[in-house]
Formats: sequence, C-alpha cells, structure tokens
Amino acid sequence: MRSALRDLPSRLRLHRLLPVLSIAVAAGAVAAAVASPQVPLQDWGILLVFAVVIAVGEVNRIVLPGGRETAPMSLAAGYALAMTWEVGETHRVEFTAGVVVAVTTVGMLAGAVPALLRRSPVRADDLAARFLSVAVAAILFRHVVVWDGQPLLTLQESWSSTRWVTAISMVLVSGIALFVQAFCVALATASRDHRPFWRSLVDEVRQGAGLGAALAASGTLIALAERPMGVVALPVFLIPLVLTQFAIRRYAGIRETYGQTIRALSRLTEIGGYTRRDHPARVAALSVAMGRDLGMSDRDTLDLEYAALLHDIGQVALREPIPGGATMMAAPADQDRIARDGAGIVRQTGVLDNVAVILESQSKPYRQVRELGEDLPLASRIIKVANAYDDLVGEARARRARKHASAIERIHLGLGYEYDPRVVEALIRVLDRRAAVVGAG
Amino acid sequence: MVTNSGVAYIGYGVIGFLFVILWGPADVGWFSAVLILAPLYVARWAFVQYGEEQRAHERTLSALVTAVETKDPSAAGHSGRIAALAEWMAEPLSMGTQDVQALVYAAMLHDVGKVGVPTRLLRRPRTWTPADVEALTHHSAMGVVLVREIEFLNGSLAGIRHHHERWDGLGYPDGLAGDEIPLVSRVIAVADAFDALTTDRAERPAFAPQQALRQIEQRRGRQFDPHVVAALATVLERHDWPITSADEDELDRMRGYLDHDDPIAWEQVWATTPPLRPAVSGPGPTPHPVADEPSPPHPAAGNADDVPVAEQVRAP
Repeated sequence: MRSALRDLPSRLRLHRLLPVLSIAVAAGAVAAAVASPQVPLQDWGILLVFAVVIAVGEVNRIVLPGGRETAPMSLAAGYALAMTWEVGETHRVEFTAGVVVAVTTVGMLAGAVPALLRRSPVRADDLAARFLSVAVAAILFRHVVVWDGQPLLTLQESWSSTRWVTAISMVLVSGIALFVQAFCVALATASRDHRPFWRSLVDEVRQGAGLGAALAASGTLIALAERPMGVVALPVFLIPLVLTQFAIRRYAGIRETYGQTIRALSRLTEIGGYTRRDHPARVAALSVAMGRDLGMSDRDTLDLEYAALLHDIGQVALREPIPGGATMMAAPADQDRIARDGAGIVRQTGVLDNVAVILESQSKPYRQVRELGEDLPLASRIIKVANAYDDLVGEARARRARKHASAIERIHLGLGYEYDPRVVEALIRVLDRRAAVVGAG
Repeated sequence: MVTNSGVAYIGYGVIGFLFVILWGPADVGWFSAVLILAPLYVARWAFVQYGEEQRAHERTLSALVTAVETKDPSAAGHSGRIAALAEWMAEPLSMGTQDVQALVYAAMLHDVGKVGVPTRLLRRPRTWTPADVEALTHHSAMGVVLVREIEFLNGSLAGIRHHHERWDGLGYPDGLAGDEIPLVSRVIAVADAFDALTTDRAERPAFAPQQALRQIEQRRGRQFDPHVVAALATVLERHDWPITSADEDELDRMRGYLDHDDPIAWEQVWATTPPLRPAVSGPGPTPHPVADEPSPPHPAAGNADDVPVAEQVRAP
C-alpha cells in the first residue's frame, strides 16, 4: 500500500500531464482574453514589450547546478506582467489575468521556437511549471479578493502613501507563485526519477530559494518602477538579474566540469585494465537510481554518484589487477584494502571528504550495523549492492536474463548478512522498472 | 583588466540609478534597498560557490595526477614541477594566455596515460621486448583517451598526445617532426627531460641544473626544438632550479624503475631493443647495441660534452 502511494506520481505520469494541463489553462486564458472587455490600444504596446522580453528570456535559459533548466528573465517578466497596475504616473491598466496568461503563452511559445528549430530538446515539464506559476501570480494579484471585497490590483490605490506595503504584497504573490513552480517541478521529477515526492519538493524549495528570492525581487521591482518610468522599467530592472543569471551559469558550468573530471578519474581503473569496461559508470547509474528511489536528497545523491564512480580507484595502487576487476570476488581483506586506498586517494583532494567516508565503508558487510551497531552510510550500502550486482551480471549480453536471475539469487543469499535488505529491495524495484522500459520499447 | 573594471563601473552606475528611481519617483523608500540587493546578493552567492567549486576542481585534478604518480615512485611530484617549469618557459617563448593555460594543464597531465601501462613495465626488465616498448609508448595516446571528455582540457589534448615526439621526427606516437609538433608538446618535451635529469635516481645522482642543460643542449635539433632549449636556458638564468633529491628509502623504492623521460636512460633502452618504434612507419633509428660503447656522460665525467650521446646511440 505504502509503495503504491509512493509511486503514484510515476504511475500517473505527472511529468507528461503537466504540459497537458498547461495547454488547457492557456486555451482557457485565450478564450477569456477574447471574451473580456476590449483592451485599449495603449496597452497593446505594453503587452507586446512583455511578450518579447518573455520570449528573449526563454531563449536565454540557464542550466542550474544539478542539471535542471530554468529561465529567470522570462519568469521575472511574467511576474511583473501579472502585477502590472500603473504604467506611467497616470495610466492605469486593468486587463484581466486571462490577458496576462495569453501574453505569457505567446511569449513562452515564441521563446521555444529557436530550440525546436535547432532540434534541441525543450523540457516541456519545466516550461509548463513556469507557465502555471505565472498564471497563478496573475490570478492571485488581479482576481483573488483579499481585503474589503477587492483584489490586490485595485487595493493599490489606497496604499499610495505606504508603497512598501505594495512592495511586500507583490513579493508575497511572487513567493507563492514560485512555490507553485517548485511544487510542479517536484511532481515532475518525482514522476520521472521515481523519487518520493516529499523529498523532491524539499530539494526543489531548498535549491530554488536563492534564485527565487532574486526572481521575486525583480518581478516586484519592475512592477513598481513601471509607475515612474513606464514600460522601459522592464529591460532596465532586469539588469541586476542578468548579473545573477551570469553568476549562476558560471557556477553550473564549473559543476559540470567537475563532474567530467570525476568521470575521467573513474576511468583510470578501466584504462589501467583493472576493471571491466564502463563498470564504474554502470555502478554509478544504478546507485543513483537506487538512491533516488530510497529518497536521498540531491546533495547526498551527488556524493553517492561521485563515490560510485570512484569506488574502484583504490585498485590503481595494486601492483597486478584482480582477475576481471571484480572486487566482489576478491578476498575480504583485499576488498578492505582497496576501499581504504581509494578513500586515501580521494581524501588527498581535501574537498571530497564525504565521498572518502562513503568509500571507506563500501566493503563492510551489513551485519556490522546489526551486530556491532556500527553506522554504515546508506551510500556505502547502496554501492556495495550495486557493485555486487554489476560484478555478478558481467558484460555478457547473451544469457543476460539468466545471469540477472542468478545474480539476484546470489545477492539474496547475502541478505541481512552482507547486504542491507532495504537496499536490495530498492535494487529490485529499479531493475524491474528498467526491464519494463526495455520490454515496452 | 581595464575592460573588466569598465564594465563593473557601468554596472555600479546603473544599479545606483535604479536605486534612486525606486526610492524617489516610485515612492518605495527604504524597502527598495531589500529589492535591489536581493538579486545582487544571489549573484554574489553564486560567484562564491563558483570559486569554491573551482578550487575543489583543481584539487581533484591534482588528485588524478597523484593517483598516477603512486604507481611509479620515480615520478612523485614530477608533474607539478614540470608544470611550473613549462609556465616559466612560456614567457621567453611569448605564448598567449590561453596557450599558457593549455600548456600548464597538458604539463600537469602529460603522463596520466601511464596508468594504462602495466606496472611491471615501469620497472626496468633485463631485456625489453618490442611489445614492452610499444606498451610503454602507448601512454601518451592513452592519456588523451582518459581526459578527452573533460571539455576545458580540449586545448591540451594535442599537447599530451605529442609530448614524446622528437624534433627529427623519430619520436612517438605519430613521428611528427619540427613545426608539425605542437609548441605545447615541444615545451613539455624539454621540461620533462630536464626535470628527469635533475632528479636523483637509483643508478645515478641528479645532474646539476647547468649540467642537465648541457645534456639537453646536446640533443637540440635532434630530439628538442632549438628555440625551446634556448627558452630553458633563459629561464635558468632567471630562476633557481633545485635538484630533486631522494633519500635512501626512496632510492630503494625506485630501484629497477625505468624513467622514460630521462633521455639518457631511454636512449639505452632504445638502442638495445630492436626494432624500436613499432607505432611509426618508415625508417626507424638503426638499432645498435651500446654495450661496448662508452657509457653516457655522467655529471662527474664532464669530458663527454663534445660527443653527443644521441650521436653515439644512433651512429651506424
């Protein structure tokens, strides 16, 4: 029952559903915009500027550290549009949320065109999350009654002497909209990566907090500055955000490079003839899937991935390779020494201490937890199981099914003594899903 | 430098302007400080993270090198030293900033491929079979295989691949000659040999820098690019180069290891192992036993200057 509930987002295929939901909202908004009272000619210019900036923001998407995509300028412009109430000292705009959402739709779709033309993939679920978030901001600001029978849009008049209240109300609206975005993205990742939803949401909120603060502030800044400056405020007040975007892009870039270096390090043993081809990469992929399944945080998953990639690095110090590179078959004392040497090499970096701790315990049997009350890191237990499975199955394409069955059987024999039962269950779930994908394809 | 600070000053100006607009005409007052500072603070945070990751990355790269050096005790610290020497040599050669970056990384990582060489070959066997020599010469190409997926090292790949090419075209793996060899590789070749010569070995003490330079100069125009050798001479006038000494224990651990970077040791192996460079097609150097020839000049010997070792080995 519990596992059925856990897998609900995946089973509903929410990452596919989100874009469908967005299309429905967009269609509704366009219909509402057409039906709503005529938008004055002056406002068309303003809306056009917003649509263009949103499109430009979508083209300049950035990849966040960790691999998720976002478009900060598009989001900030979307929030600003949702909260626009006075452009120039005298001109009050009163278009409905339907108009806002319709304009956002146009901007976001236009922004996706260059990527489609280049045939590079557009992450539909991330795009949908951004779109829904702007829609929520527009409805909150323009239609939800908060005080005295009025929405925030019309309340602004009565706050002319206390503008900071306006500012705070706008920050709050953007904050809620950002939370909606995080919620949608968490649903999508939980569904795609088979992670517990709660874990995904916590990660999403924690990682999004910094950029989110910048986005909420920028949306508010633009909406406020439109009163004295007119629509020029939009590009001008995006400048601080451009700086933020640049800094984040650099950060994500070095993270990517770091990952590449670790992957190169992981191939040391392969090229030295110590391990089988792609063994570290396969163990890492399997470990990460198991870690996600067990609800590890993104931070911990990254450490797990690095540790899994480097789990055999201790073999470099061996004079002669172990036959077949399979540590699983090596004597326990040798396994321990490889684990210790590996941790030593990794510890020398001075920056991968978490990974070194994981590596140190990778050869320890699970019974040490039960019998001696020792605290083995979950990541070590995962790597131990993933490594054993990969060593047992080997490379053989042929007879893979039979090898798979006998590998699982061997691991089951060590259940509770050598391997953590909870981790083995995760392994079986991950492998079942893989088999389902292969079977379906 | 000027352009960087120029952009920064314009940025400060714009942000000041935004502040004024918000505080005054937009009537936001004190709260504008919070709004303006939020994106800037986040940018600052990301820059700090970037710096930390950058440092972490460099440490990890050097761990990659250390992991390889543990395999070959005679190479401890070698990569770091030649990276420093190569960087010095870049200056008299007037290399651009980007080339210097590529050079330093290539120098750091030039021997990573050695991890693919069976450990027993890094020791000096009594006899070298052609297969052994071939296996050892694979390390430069193997290094490229290892790091080619690291994007920022793309500029260094050629430097790593060709660091054992010779000016006369008799090197490996591709037998390039003269200017066909990337400059980065030619610099590393000289720095590599120089560091090997100024390091204590089990079979000989380290050469003093000037004597090592003389050894290199004897091979100029054959093994080494004359311009690069001149750059090394210039560098040695400007900088002190301490020899790398080893204590008894270390020497003991090195015993029997072959330093493939040491031109003298390598020429001996080369000369006694027919046929030599299987990877290169075309006429190879004439194999010739050196057993009854005078041994390569030793720092103590000093009078062999006029008889280049390369000549002795390659003489018909």
